Amino acid sequence: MPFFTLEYERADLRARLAALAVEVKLLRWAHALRRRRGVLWWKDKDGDVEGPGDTDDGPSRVWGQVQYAQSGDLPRDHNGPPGGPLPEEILPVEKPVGPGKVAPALRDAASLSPEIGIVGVLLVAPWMAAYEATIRSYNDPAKPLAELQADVGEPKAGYDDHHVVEKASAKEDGFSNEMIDSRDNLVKIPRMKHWDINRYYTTAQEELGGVSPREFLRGKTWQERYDFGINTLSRFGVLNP
Amino acid sequence: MTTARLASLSERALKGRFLDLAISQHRAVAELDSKRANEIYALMEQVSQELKARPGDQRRELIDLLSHPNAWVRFKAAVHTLGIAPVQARAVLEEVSNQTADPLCRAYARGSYDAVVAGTFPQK
Repeated sequence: MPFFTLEYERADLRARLAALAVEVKLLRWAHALRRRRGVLWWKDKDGDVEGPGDTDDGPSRVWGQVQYAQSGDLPRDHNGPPGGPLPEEILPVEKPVGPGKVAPALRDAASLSPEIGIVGVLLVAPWMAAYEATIRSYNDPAKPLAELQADVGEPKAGYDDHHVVEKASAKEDGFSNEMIDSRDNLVKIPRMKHWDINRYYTTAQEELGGVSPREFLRGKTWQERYDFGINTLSRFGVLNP
Repeated sequence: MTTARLASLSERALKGRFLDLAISQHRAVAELDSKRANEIYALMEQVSQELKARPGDQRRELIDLLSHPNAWVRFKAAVHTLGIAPVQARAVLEEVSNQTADPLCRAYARGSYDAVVAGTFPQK
């Protein structure tokens, strides 16, 4: 290898390491700042919101606290400043084990990434590197239908092809594969939104009389299913109508 | 919990039960466990029906939860109080479906809110 190429690569590596070191310092600084502002608060098992000044035995982490801390849904009766737990208290350092445990962690990462950057997320939870594209795509803004249809059929990291008229129930009701897999019925959407929407179709909803969308759509026309699918994409922040 | 056991609980305890179920359902939905979410859905219905059956329609106990810090709890409380506090419940549904930062919660609440606006939400 020519000498100048080697020197160039060394310089490039040094620059990358320096950038990473700066990022780590900024991250630590941001954490320290948030600590100083005393933004940690939790709800104890009795449902009382505790701030950092409480003289209890320490925070009792009840599921859901992270969600409303970072979502901005702060307790309205909380007198402390806004904020939430630190990234390392939100993101699991090791990949969670068990069905369904990864998805909430990835959603938390997507929610945090605009604040601390994807590098910040990966510094806390390196296992998420395998899901980087999935985390990034979750924050995509809603797009027009034509844009969602443009990349159908092309592999794209962090995205899946999604059927507007749900495939399983349409097949059960005898709609043809040609209709189900037609270009008009397919959109390319962020992978985690795809997961969320698929599960939504099998979850009971009050507005549908206590049945899931899949059950609700049974026996409905293609157009009714299509309209429902389009509304669902809009509700999940994928489609900009 | 059986219906008979629910009947023995105070309104305050039923409200606590509803709150616990709402938080568990939020977790089930976040973990993509629709089977568990549906089981919890049925249990929440039982609690709501038990409160409704009591003299004076005690679902009013759930009105407190319309200001709970967890957006999913507010959303579920709103759905179950539409019949007794429609203006307040509708405002909460609108707030959750438009403003909360949790995209899952927003999406689910939006379905209910759209049905309320369209006048197709089933009477409870």
